[in-house]
Amino acid sequence: MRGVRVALAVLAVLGLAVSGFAAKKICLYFDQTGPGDLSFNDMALLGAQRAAQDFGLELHYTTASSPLEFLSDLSSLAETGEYVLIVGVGFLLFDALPEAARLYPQQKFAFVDGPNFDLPNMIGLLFKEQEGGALAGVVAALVALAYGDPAIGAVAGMEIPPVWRYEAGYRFGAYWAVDWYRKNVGPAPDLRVLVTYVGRFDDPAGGKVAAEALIRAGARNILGIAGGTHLGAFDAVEEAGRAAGRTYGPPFAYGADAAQEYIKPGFILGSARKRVDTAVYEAVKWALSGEPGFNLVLGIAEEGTGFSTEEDIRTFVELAAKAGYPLAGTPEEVINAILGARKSVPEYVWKALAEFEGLLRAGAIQLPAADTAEQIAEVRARYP
Amino acid sequence: MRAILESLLALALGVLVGAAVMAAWGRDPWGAYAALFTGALGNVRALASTLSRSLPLVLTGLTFAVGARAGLFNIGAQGQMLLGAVVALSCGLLSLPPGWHLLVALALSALAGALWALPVALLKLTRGVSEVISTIMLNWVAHWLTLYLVVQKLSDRVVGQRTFTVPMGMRFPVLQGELTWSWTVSVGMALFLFWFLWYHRQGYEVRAAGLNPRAARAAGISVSRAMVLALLLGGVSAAWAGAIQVLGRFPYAITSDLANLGNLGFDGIAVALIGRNHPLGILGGAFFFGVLATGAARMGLRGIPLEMIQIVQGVIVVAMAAPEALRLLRRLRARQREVVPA
Repeated sequence: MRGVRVALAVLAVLGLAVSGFAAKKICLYFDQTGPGDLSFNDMALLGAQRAAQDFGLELHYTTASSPLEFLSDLSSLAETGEYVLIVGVGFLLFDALPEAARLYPQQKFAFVDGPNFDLPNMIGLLFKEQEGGALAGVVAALVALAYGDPAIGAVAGMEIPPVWRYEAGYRFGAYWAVDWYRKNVGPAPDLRVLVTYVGRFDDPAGGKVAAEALIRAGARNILGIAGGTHLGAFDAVEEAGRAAGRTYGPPFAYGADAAQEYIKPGFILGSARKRVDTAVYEAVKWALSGEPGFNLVLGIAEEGTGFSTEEDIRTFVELAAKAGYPLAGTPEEVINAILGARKSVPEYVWKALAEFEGLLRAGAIQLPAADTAEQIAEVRARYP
Repeated sequence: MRAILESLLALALGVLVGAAVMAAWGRDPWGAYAALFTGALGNVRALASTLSRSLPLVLTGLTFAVGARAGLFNIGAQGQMLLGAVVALSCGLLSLPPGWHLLVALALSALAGALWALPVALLKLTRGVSEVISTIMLNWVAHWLTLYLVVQKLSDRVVGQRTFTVPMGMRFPVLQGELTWSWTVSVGMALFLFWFLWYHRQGYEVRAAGLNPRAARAAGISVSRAMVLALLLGGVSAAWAGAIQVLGRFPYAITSDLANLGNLGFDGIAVALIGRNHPLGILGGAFFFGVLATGAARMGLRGIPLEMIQIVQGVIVVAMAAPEALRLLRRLRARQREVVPA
């Protein structure tokens, strides 16, 4: 593995040397906060870095100083004429990105989390967030039942389709898990799914308050689907656990997008994965191919979504260590703490997870749609 | 003349400190400033974006300035701006002939702004409540009220992250790129207030009340009336800032976190200070603010992180605003020494 990486690096350097200053460039444009969220934005950057290395491209990125600048910033980037691809990172670009793509038909754009609006010069990068959400829902619900909790919870960001899809899957997975428990383990009460929308992706303090309220309401398994905001939910979960004198949960948190377990080892049991990095990598490939735009939808079949595996956990602990993230111990200690937490819950949780994942891969489970406000309202009514 | 020289000096100081910050972290400051200017003024499209960005700031700047001229420290523009925006947008629910629709939206928005300023005036004159306190509190009431309306009542059924978009007949026509004819509202209001404050008797009374309330009262001027007038005019101006942001700028809607209305109200305070609380100076101050905002993305491409860009913007704005801010503080302190009965 290491040898491959070194070889790639050498190739990339050679590529740069050959193409000289005519090196092609790509640009990432973040809608909010930019890199450093240990999640969505950092994953996009990671994918772009990989693509830049593999295809010998120069990578630039910049972050919106406010939504007031979306359209003028994108126009400004397109006008440079320097970029083979401009990647808009974040659903909040929903209006500005297609507008810019219409204004600059010669410029190629990618939209992470959004559709391509049938534009020939844009690729839409969408995910089946329901799948990751449902897998997390199965685990959260079974752990909740094992510890006798009346509910599970989620701290969500804004009311937008990618978050709705996570929520819909989470609710579905929880209900599936209760049925599974009744069939395979024993009688179980109904579980409630409590979801709090903080309204922002950059408000850790708000995320913490929301998680504390959920814990008080008896929801000690909490999925974070709020970007930077749910980092505060992680704090709340760890604090509650430590206050009860535990080194493992409950309470447990669940991360999103990246494998976020390393942030609070022992208290984050898993993560609903969404391979933003893969999507951005594929978008760069598309931009170099000259093909017309389309919607790329990544799901579990394409390894684009899923529940974090041991390998994911190791990869992200390594990445975090390399990026200088203050880990709570050596990488090996952190990994042991994370895996220890997984061993601390009943074995059947993982059996059920594997069974659900198998059904999902076989296409035997239909997850509810949640692309519009009306659809998510239906899901909420059906799986309260 | 002296004011312009002072501003240029402050600008130079701010730019130098900003450059030192960037250089200290190993960035190329002059390259970054060059990128800022190309990004904001490099071509007609960029200039249109910059102007469009500054237009609402002219109006919220005027809100603060007209208050300051009357001796008030009015920081209520943020709340009035939010309400002005949401009322203007709500007019999209009515069906009216195109053009008239826009005028009705502007009228109702102005009414909302004035109504939101009224309690400030009443509390000040009847109970002696400082306008600083009442406007801060009303800003929060307006914020949550607007958020409620946007998320619960006006939200788009499909996308959810914003409200419905303004119907075509209620929009300002496009002039060039992001710039629409909403510029007439901002420039018109600035010219009107200039004329009013310097060439109209009641405007003169507003300024007299601000300069020296005792002397004004001795000369038979009603200081209370001058204050009410200044607050109401400010409310209308701020409400229109929100209105033109929604009716005259892409995406012609309000986002669910109110982010596309941003801090237009609070930024107006800085704009007013840069413009020396003079309507014509404010036109310049708002444009300057627009340049800093619109050029930022290009600075980012030069490897300057967002946080550092914001530091540089902040340093420059503070330097530019400092002379007038100091003057204002000095006057306020002098006022406190001789307590004026309302």
